[in-house]
Amino acid sequence: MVNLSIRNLVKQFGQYQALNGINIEIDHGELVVLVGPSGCGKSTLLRIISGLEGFDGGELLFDGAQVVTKPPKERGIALVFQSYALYPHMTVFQNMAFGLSNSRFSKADIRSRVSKVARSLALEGLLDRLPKQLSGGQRQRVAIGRAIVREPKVFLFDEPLSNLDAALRSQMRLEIAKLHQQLSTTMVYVTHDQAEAMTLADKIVVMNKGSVEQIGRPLDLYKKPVNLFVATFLGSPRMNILEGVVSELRPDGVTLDFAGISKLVPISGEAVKQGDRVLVGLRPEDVTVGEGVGISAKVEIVEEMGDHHLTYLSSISGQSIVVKGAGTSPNVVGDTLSAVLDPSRCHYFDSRTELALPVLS
Amino acid sequence: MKTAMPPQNYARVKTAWLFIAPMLIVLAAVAAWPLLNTAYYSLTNARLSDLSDPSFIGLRNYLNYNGYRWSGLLTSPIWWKAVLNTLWFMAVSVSLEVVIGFGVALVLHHQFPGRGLARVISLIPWAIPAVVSAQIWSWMLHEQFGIINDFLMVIGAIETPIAWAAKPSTAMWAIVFADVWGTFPFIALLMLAALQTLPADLYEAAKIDGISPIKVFFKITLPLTMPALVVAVIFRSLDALRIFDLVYVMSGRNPQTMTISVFIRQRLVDFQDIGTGSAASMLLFIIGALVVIIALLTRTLRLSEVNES
Repeated sequence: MVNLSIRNLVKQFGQYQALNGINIEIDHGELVVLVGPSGCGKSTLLRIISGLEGFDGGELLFDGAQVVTKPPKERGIALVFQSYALYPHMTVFQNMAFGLSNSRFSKADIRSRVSKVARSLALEGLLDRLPKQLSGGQRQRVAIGRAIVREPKVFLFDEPLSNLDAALRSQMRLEIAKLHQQLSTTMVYVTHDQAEAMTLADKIVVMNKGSVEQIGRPLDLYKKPVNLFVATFLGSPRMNILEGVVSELRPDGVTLDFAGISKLVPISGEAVKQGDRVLVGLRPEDVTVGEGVGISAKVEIVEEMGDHHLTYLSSISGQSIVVKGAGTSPNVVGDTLSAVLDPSRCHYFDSRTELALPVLS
Repeated sequence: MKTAMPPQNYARVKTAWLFIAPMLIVLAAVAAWPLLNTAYYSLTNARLSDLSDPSFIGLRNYLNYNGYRWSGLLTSPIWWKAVLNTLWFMAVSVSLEVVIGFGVALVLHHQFPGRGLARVISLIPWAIPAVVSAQIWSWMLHEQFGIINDFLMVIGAIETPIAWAAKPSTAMWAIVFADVWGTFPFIALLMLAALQTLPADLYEAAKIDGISPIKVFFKITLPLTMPALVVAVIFRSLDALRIFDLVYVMSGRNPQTMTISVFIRQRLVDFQDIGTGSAASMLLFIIGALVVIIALLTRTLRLSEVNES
C-alpha cells in the first residue's frame, strides 16, 4: 500500500496546458475517483501517475519518494485500460502471465498465481480462450485479472466500464468495489460518469479544464459543492439552476427575486449587495410539486421510472425545472402547478465567479 | 441430405457469375492462354525463326534418352546452376529485405522530427526502375571508376580495386545488394501499414508490465504483423524467382550469375529455341507455384494451431 502525493503538477502538450498545477493527496488504501468531462485532463493525470506520460512541472511522490525517473514497472502500478488492451494472439492465461514472465517467478509459481486470480474472478474455465472468444464483461475481468496478478501497490483504472452496456456496468462496478474491499490497495479510478464516482469513491476529485475543482467525500461534494461546476456535474438529473437578483439585505438573509417569486434566502448579507445576480441551485429531489406558494410552472414532460418519476416543468419566466418524486406521478402534461422549494436546501452561487456564496447557518 | 436451392438463390448465383465474368475473361486472355501456349510449345521443337509448323516431341525438351545418353533440360548443368543461382538469390535477397525493410518500418513507425520526409526518401529506391538502378550500381561498383572501390581504398579497407560485378565470388552479392537496395522499401511500406494497424495501448500495456523491447517485438509485434509479413514475403519471393533485369544489366550472360529468367531469354532469343525455352518457363512456373503453396500451407497450419489452442 502506498500513499500518493501530487503537488503542483503541470503538463503541457506543445502550447496546450493540459494540467495546470494539480494538488492531490491520496492516502494508502484509498479509492480515489478522478471525474470530469472529457478533455478535463483526468486521463492525462492517470497516465502521468502510471509513468506512461512525463510531466513538465511539480512533483509526483509515492510514499514520499520521487518517481519521476522510474519506468512504470518500478512504480509497482497496474493499469486497467478502457479498451482492455488484451494481447489478441494470446490466451487468457498467457495474457495474465505475460507480465510475470519477465520477473523472478518460476513457471509453477506463475501458474498458481494466475489460477488463483482466475478463480477469484470466475475466469477458470476461460483460461485457454483467446480474447476474441470472450464477451465484453469477460474481457474486462481478464484485464482486471492481469492487473491483480502482478500484486501492484497502486491500481489505476482508466474508464474501465465505459465500453460495457448499462446492466454489465453496474455489475462490474460492484465487483470493483468488492475488489477494493478485498485487496485494500490504493486505487485511482478515472471516469466521466458521476454515478460511478459517487458509488465507488472514498474520495472524489472533480476536474475541469486541467484544474481540480473540488476534492472530498462523495456526499460532502454532493451536499456542499464549492462552485457551480461541481454542483451541476454531480447528481443526475442535473441540479436546476435559476437566476435571481438580490432585492433586499436583511439581518436574517437576503431577499431574492427569481422565477417570478420573491423569497428570503439564508445567504450571508456580507457576501452580496443589492442588485447582485445570484444563481440558485436546487436538486430535483429537493423540489416538491403541488399546492402552496412556489414557482408557477407548466408540466412539459413526465418520465415514469417505476420507483420514481421526473417531471419537467417550464416556469412562467421560461426557466426549466426538473422535479424528482417518489412513486408514480400525479401530474399531467399541460397542467399548471407550483414548484415549492425550501430555501435552506438550495445552493447559491455568485453569477460572475460561479463560486458558492456563504450561507447563514 | 441435399435440399433444393430456393429459386431466388439461382438468381443471386447468376448475378454473382455475371460480376465475376469480366475478370475471368481478362485472366483467361492474359494469363491462362499464354500459359497454355507455353505449355504446348514446351512439348514441341518450335524455333523462333519458324513458329508455323512445330512438331510434337513429347517431354523430350525436359528429359530425353536416345538409347545411350540422357539429354534435355533436366540433365543440363547450366540449367541447374541457373536454378541454384535463382533459389540462392531468392533466399538471400528476400531475407535481407525482410530484415532491413522491417527495421526501417519500425524506425519510420516512431514519431520523430522529419518523419514524413524520411518516409518519402526511403521510398525513392523502389521508385527507380530496376534497369536504372542496375546501371547506377554497375557504375558505383565499377572496377576502375566506381565510387565504392575508391571509398574502400581511401579508408584502407582494400589495397587494389575489386571487380565486384565480374568476380564469381562477389558478382552474385553485387546483384543481391542492388536488389535489396531497390526493394526493401516495398517490405518497409507493407510492414509500416501493418504496424499502424496495431493498437497503441497494447504497447502501453506491455510497458506497464515491464516487458523488454526485444521481447515486445518477438511476442507482440511479430505475431501480430505476421499475416502482412507472409504476404510481403510471398510477393517478394515470386518477384525474386523471375529476377531478370538486374542480372542481365549487371553481369549479362555470365553463367556464374545466370538466373532462370536469363537462362530462358538465352534459349528463346539467342538460341531461337522456343521448345526448350518454354520448357524452362514451365519449370519456373512450377517452382513459383510450389513457393506459393508452401507459404499458404504453413500459414494455414499455423492458423489452425492458434485456433485449436
